[in-house]
Parts: sequence; structure tokens; C-alpha cells
Amino acid sequence: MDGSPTDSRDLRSRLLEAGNAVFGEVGYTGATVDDLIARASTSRATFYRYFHNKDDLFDELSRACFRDMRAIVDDLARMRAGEVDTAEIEQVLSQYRDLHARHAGVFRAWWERVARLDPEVPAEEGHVFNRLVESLTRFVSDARVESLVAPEVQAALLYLLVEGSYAAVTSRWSRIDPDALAPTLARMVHRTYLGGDVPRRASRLRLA
Amino acid sequence: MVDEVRTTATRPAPRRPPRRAGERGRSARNHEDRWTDIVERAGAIFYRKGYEATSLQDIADSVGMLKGSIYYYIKTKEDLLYELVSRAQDMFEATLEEDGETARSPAPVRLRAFIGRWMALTSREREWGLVAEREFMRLSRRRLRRVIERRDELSGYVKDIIRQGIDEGAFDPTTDESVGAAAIFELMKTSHLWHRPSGPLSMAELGDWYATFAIRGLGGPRWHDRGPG
Repeated sequence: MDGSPTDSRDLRSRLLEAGNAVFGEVGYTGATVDDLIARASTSRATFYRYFHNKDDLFDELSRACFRDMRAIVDDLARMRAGEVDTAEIEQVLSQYRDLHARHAGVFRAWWERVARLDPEVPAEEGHVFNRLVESLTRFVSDARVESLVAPEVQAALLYLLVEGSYAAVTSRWSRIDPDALAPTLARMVHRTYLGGDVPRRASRLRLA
Repeated sequence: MVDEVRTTATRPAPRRPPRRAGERGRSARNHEDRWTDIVERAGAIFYRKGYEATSLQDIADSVGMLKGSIYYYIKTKEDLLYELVSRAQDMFEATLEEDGETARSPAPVRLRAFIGRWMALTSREREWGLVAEREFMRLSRRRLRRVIERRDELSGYVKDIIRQGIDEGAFDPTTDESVGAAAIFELMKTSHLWHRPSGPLSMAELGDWYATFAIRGLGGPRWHDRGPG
């Protein structure tokens, strides 16, 4: 029955979806292949037709996550410090939130630093992150806020701030409204680097 | 009202009296020293290997005792993690103490001072801070709940400062103070993940940037951060 291409795509993506959900709920270490096939309502034989093991399925999920992340990084790369308003920063943050929601299992495993990845995946990850940090570094440098902290370190901190805040807010024990995150964070970032939307100031900033 | 609460913080009592606490004199003291030694060595191994990968045997070897003797102090490895996380929380809760002058200061001054105290402690207690932050979610449900409550108390302190700043007209009233506080803690907690003590930037300098970022970021139109850039 699952001989036709459509069916095999369905089964495969069903297993991937199940993986993402289960890794997100119980963590990567806690999840077993049995959990995955139970969630996907399929059999062990089917699982092993598409994946070697749990790691293999996770690699696939990671690749999909980094593909989506690249799209956000592309948007970020197009931003210019002098022209960005708070709404645009909020927009990028919301995209990032969607990414988190869509790839909950990958983010949780990554956050818990337990996943063993195919070497190809970290390479892809490294590439996406380098571009991300490059874009943010340019944003920080263009804003010219005086600081002892080098722009690339500030850029990495910005990323960690966003990633950490999303992880904290979406964690099981958080009581923070996830919808409140993007507006407040966007205003904080804009005010720090670009002085805030109102009153409009020159893009070159003075930091007393 | 916030100030009154915060200046009365005291050193917390040990939460887990070692078993056989009835023993007096030298042997009780030895017992407590031994317990502290076990906790500290466990912290060092968790830091290096991670909690999951560490066995009680590793810890026993490091302390120089038989694995069976460790059961005199604990029932499970998780007991050790809980003790370690709780001790780390005791330490970080001490950063809520303010001197009288700071307690009466405007919100941005209090915020900068708090971040400074937290970062000074992070720099001193690098390993424990990291282990506690990285592993606490592996605690059992009941203990996790207690740990989360204590984390909420910490962020409650920062939320109070943000509210004070909003009342004073220093911070943007549209700020969600929970998000603001979470952002500040996330910045501070990333430090031990990547900061190298041997690098060009000290924890204090880094903390100063966090404070500038937070105060500028939260700042309403009438406030200009007067801190050092």
C-alpha cells in the first residue's frame, strides 16, 4: 500500500513530524524509535525503510531546520542599520519564533546539547551561523554604539539573547506570554542600537 | 517597598542537614566537610563530563571513597544534582542584597549594580553556575518545581526594578517586564558558555555592556544612560 511515491513521501514526512514532536516533548535522549513509530502510527519495519536510526532521522530534521533558518538569515542580511525600524526587527523576531515552533524538537535537542550529528550537519549549521553573525555584526558596526565589547561579540550576544529568550519563554516552566517577546525585544534592540523609533534620531549615536 | 524586601535578604540555612545530624563535635563537622567535598567534586565532574554521563563511581573515585559509602550521604545521583543546583541558587540569591544607598537609587542605577553583582559572582563561580544552568531541567518534577520557584523569585526582583523604572519615567511603559527580565537574565547566563577568563574582555566589562544594553534598551525618551559606555 505504501508502494506509490505519494504514500512513501507521506510516511516519511509523518515520521519526521513525529520525530519533531516527540523530541520537542520528551527531549532527544528520552525519545526512542518506538515512541516515534507510535506517534506516526506506523511500524518498525517502515521506520527502518526510511531511516537507519534515531540519529539519522534527527539529522534530516536538523537539515530542514537550517534550511528554514537560512531564509531568515537572508532577510537579516538585507537589513541596513540606518533604515530599520522597530517593526522590521519585530518581524524578524516573529519569523524566528515560527522557526522555533516549527522545529521544536531540533531546538530542544540542540539546547540540551545532546544530539550527535552527522558531520555534514554541523558544517551546514556553521555556515548558517557564520552568515547570521556576519549580518548582525554589520548591523552592530553600522549603529556605532560605543562599547568595549567588539561588534562581532555583540552580534553573537544578540543572537544568544534571542535564542535564549525564546527557549526560556517556550519552555515548560515559563509563565511568560510568547506573544509579548517580539515587541519588547525588538524595542530593546532598536533603542540600544538605533535610538528607538520616537523621537527619530540620526543613525550615528552618542552614548554618554 | 521593594527596597525593604530586598535589604533583608539573609544567608540561607543549609537545606539538607547530612544524615545523622545528631552527631556532635568533630565527627559531625568531619561529616559535613565530607559532604561538601562530595558536592564540590560532583560539581567539577558534572562540569567536565555532563550530569548524564557521570556515574556515582566517578564521584566516589574523585572523593577517594567507596561507592557504597556515598550512599551514606545520598540515595541517588539526582540528590547530588539537587544539592548542587540549590547551593548555586543560594549563591545567586545573595546578589539580590543591596546596600541602603543603592536600594534608594533610581531603577537604572539599581539595575546596573545588580548586573555588576551577578557578573562578579558568575566570574567567581563559573563551574557551578554553568552546571546548575545546564542541568537543572533534569531534576525530578517536585524538585524542578522548587528550583523554578526560586528562579521566579530572582526574576521577580528584576521585574520590580523595571516597574520602578517605568514609574519613574525612565523606562518605556509599554515594556513587558517579564520579557525584559528574561532578556537580562539570558544575556547574563550566556556569559559562562563562551567567555574565556584569559580573553581580552573581563566579566566586569561584559557586565557593564549588559547593563548599558538593558538600560538603553528599556529606556524611555526621557532617560539617558549615565553609565560608563
